[in-house]
Amino acid sequence: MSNPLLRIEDLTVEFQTDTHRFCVVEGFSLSIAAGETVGLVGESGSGKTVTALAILRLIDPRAEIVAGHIWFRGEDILRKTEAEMRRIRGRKIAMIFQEPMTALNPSYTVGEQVAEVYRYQLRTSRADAKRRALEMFERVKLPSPRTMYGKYAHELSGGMRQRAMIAAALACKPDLLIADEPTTALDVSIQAQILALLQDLQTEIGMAVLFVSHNLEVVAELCKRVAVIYAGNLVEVGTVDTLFRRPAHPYTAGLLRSIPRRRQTLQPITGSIFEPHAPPPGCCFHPRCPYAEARCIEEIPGLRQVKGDGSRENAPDAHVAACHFPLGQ
Amino acid sequence: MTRPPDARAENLEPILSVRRLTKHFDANRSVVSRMIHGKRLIMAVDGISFDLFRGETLALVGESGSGKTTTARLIARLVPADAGEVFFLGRDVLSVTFREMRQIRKDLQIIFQDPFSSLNPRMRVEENIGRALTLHFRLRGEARRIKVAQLLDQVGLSSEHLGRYPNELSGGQRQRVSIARALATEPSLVLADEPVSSLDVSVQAQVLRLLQDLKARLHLSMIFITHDLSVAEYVADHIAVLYGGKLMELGPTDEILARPLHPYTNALLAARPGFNRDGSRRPLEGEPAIPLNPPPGCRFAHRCPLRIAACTEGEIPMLKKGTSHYVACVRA
Repeated sequence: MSNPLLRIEDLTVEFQTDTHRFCVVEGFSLSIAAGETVGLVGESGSGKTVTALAILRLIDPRAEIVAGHIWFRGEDILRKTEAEMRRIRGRKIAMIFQEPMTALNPSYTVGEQVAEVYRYQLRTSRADAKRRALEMFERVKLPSPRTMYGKYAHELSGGMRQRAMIAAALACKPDLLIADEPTTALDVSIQAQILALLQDLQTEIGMAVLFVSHNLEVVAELCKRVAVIYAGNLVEVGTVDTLFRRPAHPYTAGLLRSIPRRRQTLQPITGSIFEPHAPPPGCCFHPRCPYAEARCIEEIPGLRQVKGDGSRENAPDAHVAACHFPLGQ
Repeated sequence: MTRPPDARAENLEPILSVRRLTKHFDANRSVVSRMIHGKRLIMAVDGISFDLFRGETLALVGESGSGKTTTARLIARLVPADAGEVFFLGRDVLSVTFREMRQIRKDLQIIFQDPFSSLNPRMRVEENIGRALTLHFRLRGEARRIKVAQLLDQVGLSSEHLGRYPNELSGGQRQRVSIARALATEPSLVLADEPVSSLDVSVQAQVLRLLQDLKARLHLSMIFITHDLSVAEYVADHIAVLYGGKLMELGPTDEILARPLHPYTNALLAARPGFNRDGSRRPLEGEPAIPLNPPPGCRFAHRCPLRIAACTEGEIPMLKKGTSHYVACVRA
């Protein structure tokens, strides 16, 4: 684990609107080892999707990566040319999205779109591309692959579409899959199918997965490590077991208390997220934090290892939190 | 209004009784389509019956196409039913006149999933909520403003929101406005159609908590539609599980969770993402059925791991398995 597959270092992304310029991701650092599944949890507007898109350098033109590095297999993605990026996207790093209906091209059949990946990335012949695409359809368990090959995205159900998109994403056996809320729009039973499929394919291909989600329960099931992001700031990282049992950051604890459970009174986080162009001084969570003290308003907390975490200093799976007064200490 | 906690035991009248409620939609959009395909009916809601007692919350749980939203719309008579009966506070909702229906709607309010499309974007919050007050209580001007401010306060907003337009509010705030509007007419029954599904986890928790508090304070009865079993188990006293337009199982929440009798309920419970990560779970195969010209028998049979011949041979009767626990399954 000395050389992680992906290392995001102090990534900072700014966004420009007509009137304001503001930070959407601030000093974000995270490592993912080969074959590892890491969850990135946050609410709307927390910057989780921007972070994911930045890894592929696909962020909105109004956004700009102003600082940081994204090391992928030891090379900085942010220094690659556009031509080099095109060889990384889809082949080394692939992505699947929440709404496959908008991610898939409506005017080509789903089969053609999967075959295109082989044609474009591996320069295979048309016939070979089709054969491989059909194989891929079988692996994502699309029923009757030959019929599915000729279908358009709108002719498929949500679950089938997501399978088709997974087939396109995994066509070239990428080293890293970025999954941005891939099951959020699906029915519960279909969500379970897609999660099981992703787990199977991950074992088969041996890829790493960055699983972006707002759903703590889904992340708990799928991931070994979790990173929690609030308002563009990474607030806590740890293994699923430690972070969910002993959250150190009050925001993480608040999120966990927001999961409805039978016969337990919900204790939601009070207030709402600040306006992006007017961030509070000090810790970004202090206006909503029940434990905030004077220091939280004055000083921005850095990510520090949580005491009693048990792991070595700076171990890849160390439990870290950005809080002056971590819980349980 | 005081409510004994054991209303059922005391055999009180239900506030809402739904009997054999049925709605079919014609899947053919045109005459030509009918000529090509023949008769194609989607049995959106097919013979659903249940009772709701005062002060209780019943969760209608199901996946896409299960008929949960249509059931709510039928009860509120937003779409006409094809057959069945709905008794609400002793009145037959499906056969009353339009004028009487307006009276009924005062007692029966709906909260929709998407507060952006259910609030009028060109009206300020005051007008969005106040219209119901004018319509039902003839409140106007300052008196109405005071009442709206009270309602906003009740849902955790303040009078500073009176002059805002819906697009100036966050998703959570908009849903709070929808709730305030529903409460404006002092209803005894609230139909909440996925009221927290489009909200973030922390905001969802705030709104759920608010609904629970309001329900207790105002002695509301509620039908809570959700696809999320975790939400259902948090809010509901009873759970009704729907699949393909049919009621599969109905019972007290604790019993449904601890001893699900229907294989579909069981599968739904097993499909919940959670903290069991041994990967031993076998997800249900297939996709939720759209009940288009459904074959006889159980709608769930095509996905059911326990299917036997009897499942597809005829009408599946609703069996009583406990004081208020019912299941439609030949294997139960």
